[in-house]
Amino acid sequence: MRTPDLFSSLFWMAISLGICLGGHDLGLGSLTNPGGGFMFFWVGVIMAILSGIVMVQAAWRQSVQGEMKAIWSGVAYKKVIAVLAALFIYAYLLTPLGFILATTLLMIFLFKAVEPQGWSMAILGAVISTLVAYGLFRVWLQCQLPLGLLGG
Amino acid sequence: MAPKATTLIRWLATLAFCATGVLSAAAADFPSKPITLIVPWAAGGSTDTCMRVLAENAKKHLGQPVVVENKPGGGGTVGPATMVATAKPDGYTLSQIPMGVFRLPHTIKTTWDPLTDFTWIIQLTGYTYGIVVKSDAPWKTLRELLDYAKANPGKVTYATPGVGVMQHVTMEKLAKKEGINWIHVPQKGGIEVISATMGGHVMVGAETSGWAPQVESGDLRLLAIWTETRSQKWPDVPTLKELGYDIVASSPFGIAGPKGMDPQVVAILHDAFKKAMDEPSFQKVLNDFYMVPAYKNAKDYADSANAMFLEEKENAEILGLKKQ
Amino acid sequence: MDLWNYLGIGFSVALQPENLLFCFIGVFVGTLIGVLPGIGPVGAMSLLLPSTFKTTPEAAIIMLAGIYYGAMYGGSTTSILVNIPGEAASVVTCLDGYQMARQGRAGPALGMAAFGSFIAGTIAVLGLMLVAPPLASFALKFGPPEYFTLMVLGLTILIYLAHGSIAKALIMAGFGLVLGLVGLDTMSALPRFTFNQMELLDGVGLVPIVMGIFGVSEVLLNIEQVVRREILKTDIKGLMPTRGDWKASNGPIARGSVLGFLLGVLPGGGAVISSFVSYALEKRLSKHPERFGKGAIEGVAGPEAANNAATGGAFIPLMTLGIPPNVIMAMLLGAFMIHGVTPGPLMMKQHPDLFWGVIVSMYVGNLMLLILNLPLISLWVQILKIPYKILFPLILLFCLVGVYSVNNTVFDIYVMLVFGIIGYLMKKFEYEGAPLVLAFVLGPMMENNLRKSLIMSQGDFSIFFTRPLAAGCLVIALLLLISPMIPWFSKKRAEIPKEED
Repeated sequence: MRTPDLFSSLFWMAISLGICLGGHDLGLGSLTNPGGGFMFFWVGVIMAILSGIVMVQAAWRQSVQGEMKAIWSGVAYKKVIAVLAALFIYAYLLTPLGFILATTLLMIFLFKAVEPQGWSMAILGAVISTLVAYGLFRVWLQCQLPLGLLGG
Repeated sequence: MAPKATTLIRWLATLAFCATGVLSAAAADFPSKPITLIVPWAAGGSTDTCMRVLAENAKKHLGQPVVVENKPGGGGTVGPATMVATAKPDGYTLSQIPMGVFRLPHTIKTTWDPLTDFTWIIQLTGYTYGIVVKSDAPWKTLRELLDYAKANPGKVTYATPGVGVMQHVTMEKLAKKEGINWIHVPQKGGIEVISATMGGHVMVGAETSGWAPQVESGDLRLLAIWTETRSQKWPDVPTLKELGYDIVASSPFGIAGPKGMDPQVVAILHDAFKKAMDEPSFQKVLNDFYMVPAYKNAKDYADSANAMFLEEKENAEILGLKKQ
Repeated sequence: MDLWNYLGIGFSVALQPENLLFCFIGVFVGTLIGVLPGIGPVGAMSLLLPSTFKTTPEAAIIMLAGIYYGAMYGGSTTSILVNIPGEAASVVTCLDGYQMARQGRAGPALGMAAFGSFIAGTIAVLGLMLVAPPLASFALKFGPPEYFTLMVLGLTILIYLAHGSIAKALIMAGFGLVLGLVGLDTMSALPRFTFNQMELLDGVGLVPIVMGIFGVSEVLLNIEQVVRREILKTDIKGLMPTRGDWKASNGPIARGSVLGFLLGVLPGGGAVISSFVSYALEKRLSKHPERFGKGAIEGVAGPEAANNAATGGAFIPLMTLGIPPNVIMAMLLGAFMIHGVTPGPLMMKQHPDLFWGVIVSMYVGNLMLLILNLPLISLWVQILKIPYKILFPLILLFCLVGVYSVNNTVFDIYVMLVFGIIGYLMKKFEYEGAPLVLAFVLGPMMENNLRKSLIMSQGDFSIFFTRPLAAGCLVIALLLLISPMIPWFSKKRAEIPKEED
């Protein structure tokens, strides 16, 4: 049994069934006059069958001991979770705090998180990279970045 | 007790006085900071370019910059919807209002109500729509095309950029008046309408001025335009109105703010945008993109908005798109 | 107007100072990310996309195209010097390139990779110039049935060429297709799978998806492990290949160019496949196949020529039909759309400046790359030493700003992050991102053209069989689909290398 494939195929099976249901609700129409859900429904059906195939293949194959663990063993997955959490918080705070403040905070965190380094280095790096990004995108390229607290 | 109450009343009165004082002062000072104008389209398109010229012109008359903020999405409705949901009615956040704002509430669940959620400021301009056929098509006039379609029900195919858009509605209105049954082939976007017509995959194309280069080069023939009056660019092409149909379709757009704006602020904004509209630079942009001026003041725009909303309801019913 | 007039237009556009500058930025950045492992041309193009919003469409596309073929050049440098392919298309270059470097012949290997790329790039641009115009006018005759069957064929080839599990590749393509259909349906004016989010009415954005799967997820995969890079300490002297090297490489470069160009046109083909096929071909044709893998210069020249020529070929279906044959072209399609230009049969007529300007700029860019690469190789080697702790936060920052500024909405940041997670898990569970993104772009076109065909034929399916082009596409697709059941074919397919490493 190949555990990772089993899990992923289960996941896709669930997704495909959801797509089938949603497609069905949108209206299938007929083969000669397909409705809005036609493509969704049949793609969902095909995806479900394929997930089934992957599942059967996974169950068939030789088991390699502790495969599921192997995917995450020896790697710093906690770092990944922390970085992701920081990115989501950044997205949430971007509008209220404004670009400069939110970005500086995020960059300090990232410089500290990816590989530990001194506070002064991290803060300096964060400020410089934020200002460079601001100068590049806002001032030079005139992208519309949220001003937030600092912009009034 | 009595003196205390009097103090309270006096205090409240003072407060009220101050408040009105602040209010009228706000209107008198308006604008005291930059104004954000939401353009619900990606930067660089015809509508965006047109609004940017307008914003630049209005700056002179308002004494404050008008900052264009592009918020595309939802067929041009995410921008106005965001404004309705988040902006204060202080006149510092405005939005361009495209036709979709009136159409979508009839066909899907939306977060805004065009009748109550906006303060209408000024209507600006509309687009030039037209009916084109391939240059080697047998029909030289719209009449010939309609006669052919009448004689051959279910044979003529026409392309538009999608179901429910102005192009689709108008073609079906024509069909209804003439008792024609022709087949709608919805495309994905305007360019596809042109290439499907040029490639002979549909017989007729209905689109905004996207066909202009091909009409110029002689690849397509323009049979009729849907504006109020003839276009300077193609003076030989008749309007639908001239041909005896009471149809004018230009999807006019304008500027509105959130509901509950101070009428004085509205007046200041309206006057500034009106002056901005009259400048040659704006007129030139309209010309470049084949847009037609469709000025309406705040009051008329509000009436027309209500009318457009009702008309879109009828259109949705005609096309069978009305939501349950 | 004839070809010379068009070329005149092209040169007048490509040689404008602004466009020259953007071409230079493009090839420079392309080489840079080609050198740096981790982020590939797709990620880099989406990162730089926002920086083109204020430029003319010509400058934007010239720069983005420059990134693409620039990356093909840059990828060879790290393959040869470090034995790490800078991007997927340079995987085979490691085989003989690194061996040459170990034998002290890094210079000729780098030199031949650069010359081979230049020659192939030039041949591809010439081919593009000759093939695209007639094809574009022919493409107007393509109606919905032709487009639909072409798309079916394209997806079939894509899946056929996908490495590993066909079932998994198909699941990815299906998921991409469904994602592509999210939004307001043009046929019924009803929202589909939008979950009442107005932001989704126009569909999920291509840029957030691509940045998530090819940008954020790559960073996540890289920060969770400590990668050590060792740079071979050899002196790079004498970049000029010897007369003997040239003699050995002439054939491989010529064959690689033609092969790459043809494979580049095919959906899902592109640079990666063509470099592998070229390597296999040269090995088979060689009188001394045993030298391959031990520092044969043919094994560097052929694949490097092929992967560059493929970039030129890939432009053909995009610029004439509006169909992107691979993920990078899908990205470029997005860039065209952002600038209000729809690639397709009409593009050559409506935007001749853009069409010819971009083609000619590719020639100019190839020349720049040759001049740029020979003296700057030592600089690229230095850049390899930038520590990840600095690089990755910066890449993330660029992703965030970039994805925000496409539509000025935080919503797209969330979409990107979600696809970053999906992309990360996909890598972990061995699913490929390329079929997803390509199906995402092709899916809506496919559905739309299917429904249009059926409206045109009033529900008659014979429309797909009675039109010769449409029928031809379906027959080929069918043959491809049943071929894995024949043992000989499935063995061949197993030899096709993976798209990403």
